[in-house]
Amino acid sequence: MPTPANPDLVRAMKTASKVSAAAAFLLAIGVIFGWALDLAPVTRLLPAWSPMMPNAALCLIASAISLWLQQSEGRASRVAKGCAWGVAAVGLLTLGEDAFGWDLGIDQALFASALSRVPIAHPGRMAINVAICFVLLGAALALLDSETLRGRRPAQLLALGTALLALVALLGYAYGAPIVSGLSTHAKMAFSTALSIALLSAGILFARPDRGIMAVVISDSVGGGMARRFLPAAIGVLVGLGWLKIEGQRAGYYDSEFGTALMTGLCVIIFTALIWRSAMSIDLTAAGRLKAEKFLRKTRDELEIRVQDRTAELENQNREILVAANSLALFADQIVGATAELATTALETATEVSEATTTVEEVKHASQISSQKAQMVSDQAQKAALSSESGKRAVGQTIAGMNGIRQQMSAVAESILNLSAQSQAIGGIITTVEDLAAQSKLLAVNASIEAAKAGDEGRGFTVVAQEVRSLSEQSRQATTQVRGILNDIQKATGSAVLATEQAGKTVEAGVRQSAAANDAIAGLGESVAESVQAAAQIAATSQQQLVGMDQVATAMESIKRASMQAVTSTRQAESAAKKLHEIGQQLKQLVERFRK
Amino acid sequence: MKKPKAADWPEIRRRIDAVRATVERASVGAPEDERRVLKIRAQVLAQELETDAADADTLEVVEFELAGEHYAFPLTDVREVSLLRELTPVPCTPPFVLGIINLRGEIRTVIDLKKFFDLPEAGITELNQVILIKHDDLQLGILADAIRGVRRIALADLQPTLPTLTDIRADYLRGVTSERLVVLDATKLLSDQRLLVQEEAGD
Repeated sequence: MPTPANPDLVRAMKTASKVSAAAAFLLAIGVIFGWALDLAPVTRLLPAWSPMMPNAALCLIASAISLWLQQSEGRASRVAKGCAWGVAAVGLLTLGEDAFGWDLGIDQALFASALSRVPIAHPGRMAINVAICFVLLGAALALLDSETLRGRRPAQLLALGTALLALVALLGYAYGAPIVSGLSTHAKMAFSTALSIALLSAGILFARPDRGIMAVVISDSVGGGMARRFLPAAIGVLVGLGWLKIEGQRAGYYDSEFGTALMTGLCVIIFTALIWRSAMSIDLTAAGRLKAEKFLRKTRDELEIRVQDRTAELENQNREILVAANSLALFADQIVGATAELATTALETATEVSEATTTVEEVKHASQISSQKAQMVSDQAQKAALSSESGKRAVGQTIAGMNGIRQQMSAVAESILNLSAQSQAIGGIITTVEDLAAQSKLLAVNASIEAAKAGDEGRGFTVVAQEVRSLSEQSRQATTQVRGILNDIQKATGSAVLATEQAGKTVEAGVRQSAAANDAIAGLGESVAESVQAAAQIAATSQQQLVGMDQVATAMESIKRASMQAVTSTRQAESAAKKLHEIGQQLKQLVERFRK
Repeated sequence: MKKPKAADWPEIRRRIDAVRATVERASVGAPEDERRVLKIRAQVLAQELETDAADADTLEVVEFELAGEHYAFPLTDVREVSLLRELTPVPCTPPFVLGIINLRGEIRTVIDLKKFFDLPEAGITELNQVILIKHDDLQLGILADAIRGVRRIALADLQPTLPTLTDIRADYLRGVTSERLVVLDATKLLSDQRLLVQEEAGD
């Protein structure tokens, strides 16, 4: 079970990892400078010690860079991996040289002249344990974030292995046993190399403190605490005691056997004290836990009872809530239905109100026009009343005139009849004159006869007789003409009488029609008077109607707005009701689930 | 319907005044007109006198119309002319005898020449005038449509007869002028046996 890591500790370890990488880097750089300037004190520290080889220094630099880069997340991981695999490759190749006697030229790639002065079998070649360390270190850096299926980190194991080798070399230097740090004929692991490799190993372990085996060390659990308490003690006490035993032997205070017994006894005492202290601490903790458990059990029992009570209560409430939820769902259903209906109705109402508003506008317009028309009708009717008045007067005058004409026509007819009678009289006279003319003619003939009888004496008389005859002939012709004229006059008189009679009848008809027109105009006048009143009333009513329609239009506008708001509100209500319905359903489900 | 023309009253009044003036003047008689008529008459009379002397060999006749034809009797054979009045039909007389008339107290027989001459009944006849012809003591009324009057014809112009005339008429014919004026002989007519026998029988 993963124990929560202490974040402060994690941060501190990561910082320590970076610091160790930086320290190793600086050490290696210093060695490179030492080789470059050929400063032996820098490369080997003490004249008796082995120097750090340039390629080992390069490998350390590459490892430090790789570790540093992998601490800063992401970026340049490819460079970091490349450096790591490069380090591992150099280590492997060096081992290959040792095993198979190759000379790949990697040993003296740098500072060959300075290296040639080192009196060893293979100048510039690093020690075998150094090479192994680099293989392990390179692999650990390359696999830093790799993890097996069971959550193990190979890098940490590889780092532990490396640390072990470095620790052995360092202890060798500490206890003054150079054999430990390498074969006599070969180059030995330099002190600075061992220190650098130890730093880098620790750095790799601290780089991912919350993963793999390191997780236990930094956890807040009892195990973590013990590990942190025992590990430094185990390492420090054993190393310190070892050193004391070696120094005591060398000083001659005691021989090797006593020294070993002393050291073992001190170890037993110190570790017993440590273990006792830990046991005490764990015991104290366990006692506290027992007490707490007791209290907890008691509290749990009380709680159980209360929970039972509460559960019963809750069940009752649940039942009620279920009933209520059912009702709520039902009501919500109804509300949803009603609201949907209401929404539809509201929408229809809004549409209808909109239409009604339009209609009202139209009616308003129509009533405006009607008002204007009514005004016009009123004006026209008043004019018509005036006209009918004058028409009435004119008809009265016409009737009077017609009556006059009728009387005059009678007089004319009388005159014409008189004329006709006189014409007849003239006809009588003409007949008489004709008769006289005929007798005159005969008389003239007789006179001629008498004149002929008288002979020469009567000759003059013959002339007179002829003259008389001529006159009588002229008279006859004149009478004929007069008779023709009289006939014409008679015909004309007949026509005149007929015309007069016709005119009389026409005048009669005119009089009757004038009377009818008089009546009609009188009726018309009355109608027009009524029309005037009616039109005036219509105009007034239209005006009032217009005002009313204005008010109606305003009211309709308000209603329209209100209905639009109602539609919006209803929609909101509808969605609210739907939500309510959903909530009811959820509540029901919740309650039912709880009952199970 | 014809649109009656509006009466032009001033025009009508003017025309009536003109007519009245004319009538008044005619009844009174203008002096110059009277003088002109008299002058014409005087001229006519003067001419007549001049022609009298030239026509010595002429015959004066009384011309009359009968059924559209012109006839005449010599003036010397005619006693007088008259209108046909109060004709009294006489029974048992030949068809050409129409009847008798009373002329100033004297009873005269009136005959119709058309029937007497057996002329065809052609043309319009008025037969309202009578020519009284005479020979010795014998007097006879001849009916006529119209008496044209007395005229003078030249004897030279008088043709004996015409081939178209019937025999009966030819017997009483004096002559025919170039104007187809048939001049009858009253003496021959009055001395006709038929007429006389009838006369006698009539009396």
